[in-house]
Amino acid sequence: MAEQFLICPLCGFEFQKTEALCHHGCPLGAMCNLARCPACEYEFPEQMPADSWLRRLFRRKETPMVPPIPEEGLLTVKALAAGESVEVLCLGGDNPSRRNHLAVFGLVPGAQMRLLQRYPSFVIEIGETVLALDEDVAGDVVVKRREAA
Amino acid sequence: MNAPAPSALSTGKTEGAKLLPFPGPGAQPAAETVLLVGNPNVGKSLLFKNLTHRYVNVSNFPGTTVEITRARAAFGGREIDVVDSPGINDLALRSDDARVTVQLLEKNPGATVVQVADAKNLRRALLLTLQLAEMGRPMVLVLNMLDELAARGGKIDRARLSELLGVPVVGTVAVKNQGTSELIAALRGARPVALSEEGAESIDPYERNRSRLARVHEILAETYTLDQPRHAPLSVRLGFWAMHPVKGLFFLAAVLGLVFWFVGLFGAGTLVDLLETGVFEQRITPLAIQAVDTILPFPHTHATTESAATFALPVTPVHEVPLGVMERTVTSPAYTLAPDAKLGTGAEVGRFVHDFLVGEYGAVTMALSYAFAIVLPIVTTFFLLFSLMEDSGYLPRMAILVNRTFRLMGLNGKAVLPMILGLGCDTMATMTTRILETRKERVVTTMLLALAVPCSAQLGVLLAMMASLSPFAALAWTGMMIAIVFLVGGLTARAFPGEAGDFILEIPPMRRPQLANVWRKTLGRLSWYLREVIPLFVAGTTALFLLDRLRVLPAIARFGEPLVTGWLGLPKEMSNAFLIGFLRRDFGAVYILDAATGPNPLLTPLQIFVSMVTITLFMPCIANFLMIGKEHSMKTAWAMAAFIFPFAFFVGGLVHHLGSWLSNF
Repeated sequence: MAEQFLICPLCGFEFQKTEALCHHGCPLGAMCNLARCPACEYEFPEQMPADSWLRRLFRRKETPMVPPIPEEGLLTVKALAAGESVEVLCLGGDNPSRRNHLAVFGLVPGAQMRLLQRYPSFVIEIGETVLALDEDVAGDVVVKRREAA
Repeated sequence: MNAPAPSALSTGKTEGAKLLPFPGPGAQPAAETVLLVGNPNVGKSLLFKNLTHRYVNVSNFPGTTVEITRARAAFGGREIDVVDSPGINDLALRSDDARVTVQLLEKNPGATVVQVADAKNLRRALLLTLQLAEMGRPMVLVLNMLDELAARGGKIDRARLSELLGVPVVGTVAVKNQGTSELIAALRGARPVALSEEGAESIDPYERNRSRLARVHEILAETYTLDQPRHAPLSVRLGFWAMHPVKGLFFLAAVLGLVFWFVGLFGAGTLVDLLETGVFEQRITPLAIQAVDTILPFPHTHATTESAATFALPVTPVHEVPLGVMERTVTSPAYTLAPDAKLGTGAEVGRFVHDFLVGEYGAVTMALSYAFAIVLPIVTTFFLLFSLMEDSGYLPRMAILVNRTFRLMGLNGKAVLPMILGLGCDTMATMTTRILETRKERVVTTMLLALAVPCSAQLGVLLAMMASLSPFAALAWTGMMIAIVFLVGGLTARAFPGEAGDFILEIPPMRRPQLANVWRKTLGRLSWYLREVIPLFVAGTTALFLLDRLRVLPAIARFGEPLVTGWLGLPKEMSNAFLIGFLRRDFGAVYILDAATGPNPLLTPLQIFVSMVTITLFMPCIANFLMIGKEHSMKTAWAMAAFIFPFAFFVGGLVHHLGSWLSNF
């Protein structure tokens, strides 16, 4: 195994595994998953285990990543009123699979669409295609209102 | 919809549709190959059926075809291979379905491409036509669903469209098998699309689609006219109501009411009475007993009972219109040996076989009568309604309504299809979870199906049990199951890594379901179900019979006693019910029903309720367990079982203790 640097979570001391005092002559040997910091004697697990299902179950709900604030004046389907007809400008968001998923239904730049309803899910109409969307997907579709003729 | 298409090429295990026998690699390919290509849900599979007279699974749910089906057809002496493909919207984008279709096109360089288009949605179809055109293949454009176009007041100038594109354009109504012979005739005239090369130099797919769209609009302007009728057709208005936030809920309530009436009251009540008492108890069982007694005689006399069945048409759960009464004096499986009889070895063997066939746990008297008299009518009525809902296009609208609620469980609205199908058969529903996009959604849905969605066989038995309790108990049971679905769903969603997929679902138009198709589908599901289930019933009954004969049952009952009598507060005889519930939970429920009804019920109402809750939470059956192993992994299946069974007993005991505590007041 390559020489591995450990960092003590208590005092921040950086040391090699072989320097750890407890690793000499420890009866637990390889079975022991703990290391003792030579500087402050704090004992800690060498590797943080991957997120276990138990940990996920009890962890506090993460605040979702704040979506990038749309530029001023950018209109998305989310902000439309039911019944409005608009033209699709672009599909925002940095989720290419979502973009592809929408584009295959004809939701491409230049397409004309109409918002049919907002609740309980967003429903839009592109030609004869009727598509149901989540709120956050609707927030990814940037549109522009047609100029008054 | 993005069905897991890459596997579609290799494995053919989707429910209903199967890979049709096709001349193997050594066989001479037919002179011509026809590839059916088109947007999703435009009727490719129906047209395939019309061309080849082979049935594939057809439904009004986008993404039904997740595999490639091919068959050979003979048209006036010409042999043609017809290939059905999954629906695609765009060739350029690298979606799984598009990849499959592009591969198909590449593998069949000489094939004629028949693009199937929804005539109502010509814009989207033409966008695809222009993309296909760039491949330079001979093409025929089929405008399907001309009847629906006409109903909406639309008209397409087919001659002009054919002139503009330079390919034959055929109109069809595939559900009514109209226009098929015109299509066959037009195959001869297939030509590559005459293409104007503007905008093709751009590399950006959006830009190219934009220029294609512009061309599509030019074509549409010349060929497509729409006189919007003053009133939208009823089906269109129904479609909007069904997804309206308020009207949609009424619609949902009406649909659920219909399901409850047809499956719960008519199927589980009237039909079960008719078959269980009228047919099995009064006709088949006495006949079977007589036949076995004639072939394997040993000195004994069967008891006779007065059997009576009332047939009535249910109106509400407590009101019904009586239609007739059947009364008969019948021979029952219970018998007494002649007092001075000494049975030789031959007679003992005869008695053993006699008991195995028509005894208390007999293959005929129990397994078959249960499978055909109780399960069959309920499953048939359920599958019939489910196929109707599927073909009418209601299910995707239901997904819109429940999407936000399902989000609480880390799922999205698309999971409504397997969840509802689970009320018919959880094993089948576990298979359909593959329409969900992420592994997380598939696991959570599978878990909820296995834990708390009772299948129709079990629902039937539970309904009968509830009849012996107050309506309050039925409500409490329903409330508990819903609470458990949300609790466990929410927790599983948190514990399982990953996110739910996007909810992007195409909503097909509401259609009047084609009865022939509905019937066919129902029969297909039924035969699958019966093949899966009847061997299990017979195996379960045999196991029970042997355990009973070898006196193992009392021993096991003693083993499970602390759990059953102590924690659940049930009589020790109920251990057998739970034991057999490991095999099939509804089968276990039948035992509970036996103990719960009759002149001298073994169980008190609270005990009935406790056993009902416990057995509902059991894993549905061995088949379901194996299906989870197949769809996910055996490890997942074991992990789920390790959670589900202790959880079922835990909740059952909780109900028992809470109930006993409450009854002190």
